[in-house]
Amino acid sequence: MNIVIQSESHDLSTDDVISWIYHLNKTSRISKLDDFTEVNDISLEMSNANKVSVVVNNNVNIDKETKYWYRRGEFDIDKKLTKKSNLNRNLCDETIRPILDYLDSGINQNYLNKFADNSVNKLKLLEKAINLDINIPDTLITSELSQLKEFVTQHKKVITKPIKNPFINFNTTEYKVKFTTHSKLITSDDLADEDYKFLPSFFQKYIEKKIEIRSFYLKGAFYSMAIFSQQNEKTKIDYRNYDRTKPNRCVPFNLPDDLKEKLTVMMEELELNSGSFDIILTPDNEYYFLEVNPIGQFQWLSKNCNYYLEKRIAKSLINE
Amino acid sequence: MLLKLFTNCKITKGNNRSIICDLQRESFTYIPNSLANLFDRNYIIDTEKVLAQLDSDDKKIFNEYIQLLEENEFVFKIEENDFGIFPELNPEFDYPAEISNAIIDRNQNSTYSFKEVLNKILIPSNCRHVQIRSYDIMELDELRIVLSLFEDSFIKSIDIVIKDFPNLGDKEIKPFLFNFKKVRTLILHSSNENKLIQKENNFGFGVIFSITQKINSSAHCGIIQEEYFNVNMQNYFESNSYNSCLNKKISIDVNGDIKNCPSMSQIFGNIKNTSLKEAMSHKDFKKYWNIHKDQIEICKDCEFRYICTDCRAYVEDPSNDRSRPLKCGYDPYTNEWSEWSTNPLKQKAIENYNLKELFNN
Ligand code: SF4
Ligand code: SF4
Repeated sequence: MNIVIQSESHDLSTDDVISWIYHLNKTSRISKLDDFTEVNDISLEMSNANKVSVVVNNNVNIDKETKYWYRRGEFDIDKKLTKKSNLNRNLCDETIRPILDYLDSGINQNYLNKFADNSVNKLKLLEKAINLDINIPDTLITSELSQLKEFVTQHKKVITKPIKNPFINFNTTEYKVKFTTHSKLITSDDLADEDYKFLPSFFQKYIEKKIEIRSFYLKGAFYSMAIFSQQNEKTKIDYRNYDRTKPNRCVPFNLPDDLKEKLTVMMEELELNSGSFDIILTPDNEYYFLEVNPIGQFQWLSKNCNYYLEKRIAKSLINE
Repeated sequence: MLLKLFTNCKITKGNNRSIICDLQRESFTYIPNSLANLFDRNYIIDTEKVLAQLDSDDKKIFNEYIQLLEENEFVFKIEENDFGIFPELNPEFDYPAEISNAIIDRNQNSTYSFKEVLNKILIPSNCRHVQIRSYDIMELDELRIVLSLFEDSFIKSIDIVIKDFPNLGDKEIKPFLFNFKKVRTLILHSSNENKLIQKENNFGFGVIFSITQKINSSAHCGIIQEEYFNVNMQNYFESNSYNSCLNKKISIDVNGDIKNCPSMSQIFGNIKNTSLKEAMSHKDFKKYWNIHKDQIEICKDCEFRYICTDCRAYVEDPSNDRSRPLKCGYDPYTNEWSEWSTNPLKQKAIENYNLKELFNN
């Protein structure tokens, strides 16, 4: 059995999944692409008789039967090459890019996530939720202080978070810049009096929580965990403001069936076969959808709830 | 008010008292059995119902109990219609390998090679945690070769117990270990003093300390002490159904003989001429794996049974395979700890295992 895994060299979850694959199927041949893998060499063959087969960098074979797991990292044209000249970039875009796009469209019968899942649009997710009649917090994107003020007046408490990714890296020749932003609370006290403009930013009504829910979705199944973040001041707004001495209680949780059904439809429409949901349960027992992160952390959830997600991922990869 | 126990806080009832094992925060807390008994089948206490049945003295005690539970965040308020949304933890223990841990014993007469252990035992069984115990001095150069071998392999963690080197200073051992990130603990025995040489410096790895105790054979293993109790989810669920020491363990003793544990007499072949498959297919290889604490005499009444080690190599009554670990000095009926080695009831077994010499150094 041929398995290709794209990940980061220091990702422990990948290592655990590989242990399970090896344990469950001793004959599997695992090729691992780590971090940023440059495509130096690629060939593709198609025929009615042999269908499709691709060889990357002379040693990674990918065909319809290959199991493919995209976990993290990137597999792309050598950036140095494309940065140097426009001509190079254009040439690559015309030649190698279509092959990579094709590869990333999920050519394997059995795959789990794909690189393109990284770029799922948060706004698209919210729109899908609305269409499926799933509660979302009232949301505003604006660059105008006056509009934000109105929104804050209406909702009292508002949070802001990144439109795209909470972790961003910018590399210049002189600096490496790392940004991380989690959810931040905004009230009228935080807003300046005089008018000014800012980049379009994402605001949502703050939803009171009874508990927060993290749910890992794997091909139709949900593995959920309740996070009791409200007992702790540090984690009230965002449970990722972790308290190491007294971590929030995290226990297994059952999502209601009708919500699971709707979320499954959402995933199917977005062609995502795995991801981590962030959901809130309010004191009035309403569920609010916040987002789904297709390339999420699952080790934390697996360990706290004894879910053996690493084993389930391994099994889903090796069994058709 | 309805209070529900978090599903990752587990009550283990003993004869006289109970403990709550906090599987998330990895610690345990004593509670009286009278408190443990207040929880219903779904681990809920209905405080109004309980209070209605108590007189004022008992009410005071009850309120103290509730305070204890709340302070430790063992319980949360729950509404009746939320009963179904917090399922029990999956009690399953599973592990992605045939063997999870190996003990490799060594003395000055050992001739087998570590490479052989790695290639013939560890890799085929997918075993990624090893403990190396050297009763005699192992030169740094030799240790370096062994550790480099494991460092380049798929092994995840190495614990080392080794005889202290003469003239070996902290200044040498720290940089030496710096290159071997997979070493979790390094213990130097037969040392001049008991001291911590290096605190963990890398996610729990890299601990170095020395002890004066002379560990000159595997007969030193198997001691039950409160400090050795291990509260974590994987270990807890493993102990529920399997032997907490020997499940998925393999050992190579000083002669290169393959055993369940170096302290046992039964040999499943020698590493030089036996494959993993041959050793493991012996009918007795897994005979202890499924013996768990609920089946062990005395232990089955002890509140520590799911966080304790279940030594099968040294037991109080060697003719009884459900007898409790010999080297335990705890009495779950009185909740007292005493010295096991001087207990008159244990002298016969001590003689039987030839453990007398242990106490002479
Ligand atoms: S069975 Fe006893 S002697 Fe053997 S390894 Fe376990 S604790 Fe040590
Ligand atoms: S009685 Fe058994 S379970 Fe209790 S401490 Fe002793 S050996 Fe461990």
